[in-house]
Amino acid sequence: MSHPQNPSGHTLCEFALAACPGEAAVIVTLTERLDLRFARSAVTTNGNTATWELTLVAMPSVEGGIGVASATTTNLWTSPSGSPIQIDQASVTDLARRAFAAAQQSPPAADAAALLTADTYLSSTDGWSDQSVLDGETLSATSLGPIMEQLAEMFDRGRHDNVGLFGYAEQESHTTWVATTAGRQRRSVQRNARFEVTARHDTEPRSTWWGRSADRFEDIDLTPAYSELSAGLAAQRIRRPLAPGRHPVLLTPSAVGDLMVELWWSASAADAVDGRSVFSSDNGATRIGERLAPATLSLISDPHHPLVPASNVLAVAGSDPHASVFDNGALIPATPWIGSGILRNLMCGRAYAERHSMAFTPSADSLAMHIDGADGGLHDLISRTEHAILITCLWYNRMVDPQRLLLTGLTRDGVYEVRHGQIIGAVDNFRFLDSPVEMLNRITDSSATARTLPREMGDYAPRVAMPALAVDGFDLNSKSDAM
Amino acid sequence: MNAPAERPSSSLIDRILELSQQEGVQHADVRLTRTRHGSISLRDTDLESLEDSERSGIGLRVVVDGAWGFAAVGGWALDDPAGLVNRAIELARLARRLHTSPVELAPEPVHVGSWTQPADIDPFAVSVADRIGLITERSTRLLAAESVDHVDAFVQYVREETLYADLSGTRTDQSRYRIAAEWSATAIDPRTGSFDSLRTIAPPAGRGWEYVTGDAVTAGAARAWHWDDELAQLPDHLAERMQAPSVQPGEYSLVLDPTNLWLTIHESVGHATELDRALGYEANYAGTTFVRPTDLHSLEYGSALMNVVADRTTPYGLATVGWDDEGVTAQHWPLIEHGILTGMQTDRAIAAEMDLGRSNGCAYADSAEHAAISRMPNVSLLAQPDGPTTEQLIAGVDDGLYIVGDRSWSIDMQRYNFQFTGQRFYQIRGGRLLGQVKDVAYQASTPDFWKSMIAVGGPDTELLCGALNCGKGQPGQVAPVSHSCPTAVFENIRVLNTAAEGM
Repeated sequence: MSHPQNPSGHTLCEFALAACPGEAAVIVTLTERLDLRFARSAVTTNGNTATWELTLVAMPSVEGGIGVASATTTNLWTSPSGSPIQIDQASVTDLARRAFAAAQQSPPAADAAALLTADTYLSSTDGWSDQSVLDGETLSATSLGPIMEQLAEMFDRGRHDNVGLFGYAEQESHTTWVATTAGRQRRSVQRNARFEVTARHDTEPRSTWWGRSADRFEDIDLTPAYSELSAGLAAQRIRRPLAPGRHPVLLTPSAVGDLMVELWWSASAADAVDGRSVFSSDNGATRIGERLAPATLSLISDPHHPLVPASNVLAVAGSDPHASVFDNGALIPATPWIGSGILRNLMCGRAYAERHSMAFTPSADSLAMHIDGADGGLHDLISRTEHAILITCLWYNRMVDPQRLLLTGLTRDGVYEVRHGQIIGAVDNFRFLDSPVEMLNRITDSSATARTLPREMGDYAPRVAMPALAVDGFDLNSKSDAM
Repeated sequence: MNAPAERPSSSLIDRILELSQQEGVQHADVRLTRTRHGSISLRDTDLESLEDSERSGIGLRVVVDGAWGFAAVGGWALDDPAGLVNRAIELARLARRLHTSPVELAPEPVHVGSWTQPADIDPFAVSVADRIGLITERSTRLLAAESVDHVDAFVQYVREETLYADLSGTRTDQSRYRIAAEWSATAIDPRTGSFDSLRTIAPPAGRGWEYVTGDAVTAGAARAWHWDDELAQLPDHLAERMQAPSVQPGEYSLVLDPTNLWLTIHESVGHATELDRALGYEANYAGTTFVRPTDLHSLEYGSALMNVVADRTTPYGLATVGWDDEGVTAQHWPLIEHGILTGMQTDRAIAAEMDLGRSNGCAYADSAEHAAISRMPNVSLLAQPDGPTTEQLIAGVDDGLYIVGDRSWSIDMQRYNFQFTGQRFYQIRGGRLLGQVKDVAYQASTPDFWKSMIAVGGPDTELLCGALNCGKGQPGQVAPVSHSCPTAVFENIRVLNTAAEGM
């Protein structure tokens, strides 16, 4: 496709900075995606896309401080007939003019801080002026070849077993350049791939789900998918009664991931200090320092996490309670939200951190829970469980009460009864009501941590690593007729 | 204030379609889109962010040997149309290997034309200072109230332009606006540390800046909003809520205001009558539905008072267009008549697959980067022509709750078990409104709920509500959609006390 290989992202960044009449931060992103959808054991829709995007955050002086406005465009290249593709200078110049005109009319920003300058973290290998990931790595239909072969085999096995397969495969890469008029220049690459499949019996109300996420397609081993799906469907031949109520449960890493992402996204320092968050304490204090979980538990965002590596460069198009545009280009450190069971940090920008004597805690797009001493996988956890309800997926999870971070949602595609270390049958789907914060105190056992695909949040949080957890007293509030 | 980039000439579109035809495709359609999205957020009275993004792109969808292929590029500079065509065709040929029944598209007459949903005032033409000024003034007013400790404001506005062209000769050019504004007030009890919030319940609308200033014209259920009145009442509502008793769980008659009922319609009727879900195309993600394709004209969906229409022509509706994203003319048709299911939602492939004749025009893509899928039209519950007022409906309830505004929502993968909360819950005793209660959630199963509808309000109670953020599909797409409904009464609905749950 028509991707300009030269000039590349850094030249675009540099051109945009030069077009700025005052202080600014610039973010250039190239996103590539290859996707394939299937249903009823046949491939349906698909797509192969590439988009360049430039966001310019203008930060001129205004009366009383610094005004801020962001402007974004995808019209970045032009190809006058007969000549090679080049920067659309008129479009980028207009974007800068538009952002500065808006910022000059805006009141002073409360999160203003000096822009980050050129720093010593840069080395010749960080790749500021590298070509984008496109070089030698372009996503095209051929990348799907190996998956198509395995899908064909799964579809055949499904047809033999009267099982229909429905699912999705996706690979994305994001290359980001961040620069400031004060001299900061950083580039980072973040990738994510996923494969997920729902298996449904053709005539009986039985369904189950298998999903994995990784950096690239080739890192996902599809070999066990069909046999695991098949084992789930087989276990669902036996139906077990279960009354609504509080039950001990086993949550898969995917289900734990969906709950912990809600906790992570609620960890705003400003909301807690304001007194309007589950992490608020009395009189403007926060719950930092309070024990929330067993001493063996930690919850961390780390760009260099071995299971869920992420970009270590902060890129913020618009400020929110978690991050500030003034921190664009900051190096993202590893930050424990919970360490040794104790709430350690809440998310905030630099200016806020300074004003409230807190740590500046930009979050990597990555979340991992670890439990010291935990080992084995979900199957080991099942085998040492006397009695619990095993929940494969949680779905349609929504906040009911922010004071407690009380969530509601539903189980989906595989809910089983475990007795004496064995799955002995399936139970109905249920609506749950529980709080991921309160739940941490009711953890009784866990597996080791593995990268997982949160069923609901996978679109927004593709880099999550979680253990499977045994939790007491999980509120399975009402039965769902969904099959 | 902006100089929009030149839209590519029609010769580029012709070239893409011509190259596709040379490759022997059965179908090809090109969409050129440009979506400008502006947003302003304030935290208390501080500007938190001011954003203005314009995303454009070119998407090509082909059918080759009965299989879909789709490729897209961001921006409008396409120096190599053959590359785009090759990518789409390459994917279609790959998909063909694992394709069982060939894609066919329901026939549609050729259309050439343009359509605009006008805004009286283009939000992007209002000066930034005026936009921020209006929002800040309102936040300041709210924050000055004694009962209010914090105020959040979020206003967003969109201009969406879509040029569609296909090999049959259809070429449609459309543009529309939408806008949403919301103020949220939070109170913190200094003695207990407990906090709660209420927000404005003004629906999003297919309108321009005039909607936010309060100068929009009312057209049927699409009403102008009285911002000053609502903002003036919000602190008192919040103060009352902070002192309100916790609800006694049990079964209640619910009088649901349109500002609450629209979302229940969206989840339990709108999504449940999508034919692609009934056929399993969404089984891995959004889910399926309890409605089977064979249920048409036989399924008893709700009480005889239930009449629901699908409509892509609703004035100021968020899913209102001239043509859908497959070049099908905007239509309106019944989904449920006197409680019986009589219609579903289709795009061209699904209409052909089910032998339904013409598509009813539900295809939509949220950008050039995504292929069109079947998305919800405006789905509305009809008022009873001579029906009662909300006060009259309340007067007919002995022991119940009147619920205003939406908040939390959740429904299962087959659209049975749902739970909704709201902004304000008023106790009803002996036909009279008492004060607010709190910690309310209502739960039901879709068919039970709609069969329990015992009274429907008249046209005076109707309001066109909606959402900008309806999610569906993989890769995920977001769609705007409106729902008009009257106030209605439901009996014997389970009400939970959320403060007692999960402990």
